[in-house]
Amino acid sequence: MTDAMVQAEQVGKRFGRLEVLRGIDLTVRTGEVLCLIGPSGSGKSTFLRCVNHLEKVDSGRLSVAGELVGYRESGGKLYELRDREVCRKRAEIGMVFQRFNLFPHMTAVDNVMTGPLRVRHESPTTARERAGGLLARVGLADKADAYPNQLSGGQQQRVAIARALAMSPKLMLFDEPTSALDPELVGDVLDVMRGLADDGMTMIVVTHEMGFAREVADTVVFMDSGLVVESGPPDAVLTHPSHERTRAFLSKVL
Amino acid sequence: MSIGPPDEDPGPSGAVPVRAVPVRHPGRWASAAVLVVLGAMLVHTLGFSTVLRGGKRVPRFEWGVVGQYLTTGPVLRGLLVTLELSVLAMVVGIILGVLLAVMRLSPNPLMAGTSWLYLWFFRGTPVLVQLLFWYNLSYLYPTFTVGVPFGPGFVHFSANSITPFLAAALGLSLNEGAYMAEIVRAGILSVDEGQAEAASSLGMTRGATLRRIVLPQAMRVIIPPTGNETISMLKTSSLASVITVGELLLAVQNVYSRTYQTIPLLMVASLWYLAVTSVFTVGQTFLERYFGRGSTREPPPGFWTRLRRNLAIRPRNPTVAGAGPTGS
Repeated sequence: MTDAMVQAEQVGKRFGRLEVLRGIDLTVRTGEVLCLIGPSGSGKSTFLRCVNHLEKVDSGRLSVAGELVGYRESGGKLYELRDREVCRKRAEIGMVFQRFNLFPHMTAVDNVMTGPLRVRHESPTTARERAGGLLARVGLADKADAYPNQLSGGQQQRVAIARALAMSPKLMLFDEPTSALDPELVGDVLDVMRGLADDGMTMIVVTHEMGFAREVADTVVFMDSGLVVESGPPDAVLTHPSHERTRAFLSKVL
Repeated sequence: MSIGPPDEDPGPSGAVPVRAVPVRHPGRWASAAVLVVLGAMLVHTLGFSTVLRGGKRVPRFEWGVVGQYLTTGPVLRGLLVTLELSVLAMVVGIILGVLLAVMRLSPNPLMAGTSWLYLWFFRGTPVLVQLLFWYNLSYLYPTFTVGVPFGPGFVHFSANSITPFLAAALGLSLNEGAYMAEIVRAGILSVDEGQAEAASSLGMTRGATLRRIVLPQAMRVIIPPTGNETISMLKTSSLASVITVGELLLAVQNVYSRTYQTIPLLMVASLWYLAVTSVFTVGQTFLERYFGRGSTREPPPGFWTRLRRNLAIRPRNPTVAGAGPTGS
């Protein structure tokens, strides 16, 4: 067994006639922080959604922790997984969305408790206790009983991170976590993510925050029109890009 | 900047309040005056006017007769049947509606198609016709059998076991299910897709997501029209009088067919219908409050607050009007 957390080989995905992913090869090692950058429509978010099977892969192989995503291989044949099995695997992968997607009818602490309570069937007391601890970890211990619409965007996103962490995931996916935030709120969210990276969490982060990528990422991957154009350490990709398209993109965002 | 009422000392911040003559609303006063006159006329004709009947001056609305019958046994028994019938039909209708809505949104085309066909049939025929149909079911099926399809039967029972009440409950429920299905479906579709995605990313199954995440949020959209349906059902249940169910309308009809006091007894029925719908309306308000939690920062202003605001009557301990938090 290798220490690859995510392994993508020639992963392809199409929506109707639109080819969004055209053969992605990519490896994320355990404990690695990988930042996916690239222009909008380049397939970054789609790839992320494939990793926890919110989208079905059309071609190629994609595996998480050594197991295929969405399928079971047996005797050289692929079998589609049942809803319940897909859910079990998703429970081990945390996801944070651009638009937070907190459950608006629940308080912050209830949001964080939902996974442990409804998926892991923990007792309400332990779930609540752990949820309180996680909210403290993202700096929101005093907001446990606030409803999402009483929180700022940055606070909501931090609750969303705590909600994902409550499932003790082995992999965290971030889909443009700061793109919907006012500039002065971005820092708090990035601080929490930085803390996670320091704790050794394996993370794939789709982001436009080049500063964060440079500072926190182990690997930066630049994608364009469904392909990986360039990947490597942040310094190599962001400071000394070897491809013309990477240079053109960076000149616009930096 | 602060806008305060005139003739007020500057606030602690030292800001000078804006002094301005408020906009006058002569139209509001004129229309209010017209309404007051109309209201007085209504009270007069209902309570104090008389009419010549059989050479005698008698009160136009015989409130005495109304009061005499309002709480008599037969009327109250009829009211109870009306309540039983409406509540039963609504409960079954809501369960059926959720089921049909989920079927309609299912990726399985056979499920979705079946739901569509059900709606097409039950919304496409008058509910009175459906009631008459269930009432006369024994003509089609004199006996019912439980057993293997196209094979031997185990239990038989006669169609006479379908009482008028059961026929009415069946007809009203099945019809209501069709309407509730569309209401529930609209509610489910109103919930942002990201909610279901967030739930799946936590590992929740489709069923759990629907029950814990989507439906509770859909309730905000589902409840107002459901309240409407409940009130409508209470009144539609009077159709059951046609198939001899002894509900409120039939109860008063039985009385006035003996006493010929048609109008007062119809007023008895109307008063009860009004009373029950009022209770339902209050219940709906509470349900809306409960399921609206987390959706608004402040509850919407009630009737008295709005009235006070419109008449520009100042609350006793003045807070600065319009200085609440504005949009984010």
